[in-house]
Amino acid sequence: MLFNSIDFLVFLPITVALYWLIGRLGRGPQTLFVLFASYVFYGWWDWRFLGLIMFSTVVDFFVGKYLMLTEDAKRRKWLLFTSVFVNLGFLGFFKYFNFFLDSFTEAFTFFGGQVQGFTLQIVLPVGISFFTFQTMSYTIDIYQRRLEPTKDFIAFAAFVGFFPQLVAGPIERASNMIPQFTSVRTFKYRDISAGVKMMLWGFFMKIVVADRAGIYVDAVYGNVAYHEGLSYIAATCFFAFQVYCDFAGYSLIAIGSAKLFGFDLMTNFRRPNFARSCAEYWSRWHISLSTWFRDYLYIPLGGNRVSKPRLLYNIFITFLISGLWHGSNWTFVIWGGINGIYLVVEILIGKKKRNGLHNIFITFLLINFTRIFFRANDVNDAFHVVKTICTNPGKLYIGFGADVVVPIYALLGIGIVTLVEIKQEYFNEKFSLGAHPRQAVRLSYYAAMLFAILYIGVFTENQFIYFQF
Amino acid sequence: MVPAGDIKKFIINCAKFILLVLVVEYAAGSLTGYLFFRQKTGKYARMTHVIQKDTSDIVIFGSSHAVRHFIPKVFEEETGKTCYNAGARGQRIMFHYTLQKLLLERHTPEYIILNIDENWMYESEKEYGRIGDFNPYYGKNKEALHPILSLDDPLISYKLALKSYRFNSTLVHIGKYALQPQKDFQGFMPLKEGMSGPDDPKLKGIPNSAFVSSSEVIDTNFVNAYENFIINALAAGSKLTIVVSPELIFEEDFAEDKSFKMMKSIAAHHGVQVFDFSDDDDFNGAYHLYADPNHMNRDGAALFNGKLIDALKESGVLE
Repeated sequence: MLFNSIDFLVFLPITVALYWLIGRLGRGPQTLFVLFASYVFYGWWDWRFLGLIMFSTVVDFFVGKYLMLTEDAKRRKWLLFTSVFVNLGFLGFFKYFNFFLDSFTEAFTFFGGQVQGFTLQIVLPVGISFFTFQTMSYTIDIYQRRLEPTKDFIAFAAFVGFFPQLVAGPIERASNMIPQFTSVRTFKYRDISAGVKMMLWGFFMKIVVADRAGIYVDAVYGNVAYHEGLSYIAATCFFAFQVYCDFAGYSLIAIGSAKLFGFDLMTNFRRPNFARSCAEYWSRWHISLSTWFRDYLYIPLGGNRVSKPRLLYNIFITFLISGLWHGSNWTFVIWGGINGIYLVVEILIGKKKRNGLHNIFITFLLINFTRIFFRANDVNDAFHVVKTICTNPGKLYIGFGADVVVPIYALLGIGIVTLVEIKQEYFNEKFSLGAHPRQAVRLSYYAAMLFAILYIGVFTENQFIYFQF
Repeated sequence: MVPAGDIKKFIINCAKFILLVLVVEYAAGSLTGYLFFRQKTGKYARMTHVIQKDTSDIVIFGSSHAVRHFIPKVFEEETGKTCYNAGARGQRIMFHYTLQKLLLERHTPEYIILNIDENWMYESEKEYGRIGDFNPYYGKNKEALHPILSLDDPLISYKLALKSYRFNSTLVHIGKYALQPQKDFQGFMPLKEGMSGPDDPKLKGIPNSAFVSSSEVIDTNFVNAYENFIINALAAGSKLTIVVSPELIFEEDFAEDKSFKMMKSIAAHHGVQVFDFSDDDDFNGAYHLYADPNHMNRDGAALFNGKLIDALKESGVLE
């Protein structure tokens, strides 16, 4: 079920109310109820894929348990291999099987060989990239003796399947979540209020900004043969805000929803558009994934405690694989590769203070360039867009008839988000209507926000972009 | 654990918030509603005119082809009857069927002309979204609109209970046409420029369908809407004519299009004549009569209207 659907609007309050009522029976039944609600939430899409989550949960729970029981290094390695094989096996089959097969066929044909190409009709289970990474981190942490396995299977299953963050993160760590599942949760007005406020702002970002900007982006990137450079520049800038507001909005709704159940999820975005370097950008964007790759790929590769060439290699490889994680398409690999190159170049240039608006602007432009590859349907389209921007600025496409207003509403939403983030970035709690000492001001602010969502939002229940990953 | 104090505070503040939302929603929604129905020009002003005021003898329906190709003044001069062009850009049969339904509840035109496009019967998600243009009119036309709007969204009546949702995204329209009023030619929106020839850059331009994708699967709701448009016009006592606008570049497979053939056959079944100008030699390849590959300019429209009126008189449809 989508966060921006009527189904969720009904599901959430009922689940929250029952959750706190069941809480009177104790922590155990409450956690069991969260697990049940999470499976209902996921099964709403396709109940058959619940089997994957359950299988992954059982495997990692017992791998974690036996990792603790044995000191035999070889046996421990085999246990870890089992967990990684199962999780990456799911990911490899459902997400990458056709991609690798196609790429192999194309490469073989390119070198003059003849091979009969075939693909399987595989449906990508929603959220598979997220829950497999989350559950893998549990066994890796136990293997590296950074975490003790839990004995509470229900708490572990609820950690893997917790519905607010099941399908698109934040990719949580067991060390943060399992203690929350195994301790008593208390209904706190402050948490509930904060959760609702976060959700409201998340919905604003998604429904008012992302989905509106997406209309223009789709019109341009969906018809690449017909557009000119200026339109691609505008569409890519809109896409920057679309993908940000879509994913950051989703994350806020997830974090806010979790708060309604008394859980604290990690922050996933810290105003990335204000980054003054690409390295800083990646410390502000999709933080749960960046830190996952840092802890489970970059550091095991040697991290920064290696020679400089090896360090640069580690960074580049980490970004390349991060690109592939996003999608089974060469566009994502190139996207990851370019970002890797940016960071490599920043290291080669050396550390220097990067203050000032111009650095924010340059970083925005550099990151935006990579987004052409992120958004394009295939590599040919992406290069066509880059070439057209460089050679044929042409006219700016603003839509036909009534569609002319689409970019205006998108700009209005982007303007509001940018103003709010400027306040958060540079003025912290100053001028905050949402945290004003007078309750009437606070409530009016959020009532106006809800009105704005209803009045200028797009209500077509568009899927979140990161669900496809 | 659920402390009673926190629960009480939560419930009280929730109630305050909901009350405030309802007040803001009602006040701001009513204000936008007031501004909406005061629009003098633009898409919604034309819709409001048709739904609430129009009493013309001849009413023309259709997409941008209708808007750009039918000049009410020409019809009035040639027939002595009043005429209004109720065409709407980017809209297809669901919209025109709904608009006609609302018009017929209040007024029966003597003649109705429906300008059809060949692909109207094909599935189109966008078309369902675009009948949302009727949301602002839901309040006074609930019974007529509910069966149509609920095709896309079964919960629409609950959503439209909120004024903010009913007038969703209309503010820019209101502002735009208040600042830059359109000249009104009884619904007709002329295009001035002409194309230079086969090398005209507009032929390489962006297609009108940039926002509209169309599959080639027939949608039964669209077929029903089209057939009901015909049935309702005839039942009301209007004389109905279906017209196909001229094409700059006529493609041979145009006439074989599944959707197009279906529309012609339904019209024939109900005894409604179709006047098809798509392969008319006066217009095919006549670049100077077109402002873009899809639409004729004012000269083209005038020539077309003259020929159409002659044809209508000849066949006895128009007296």
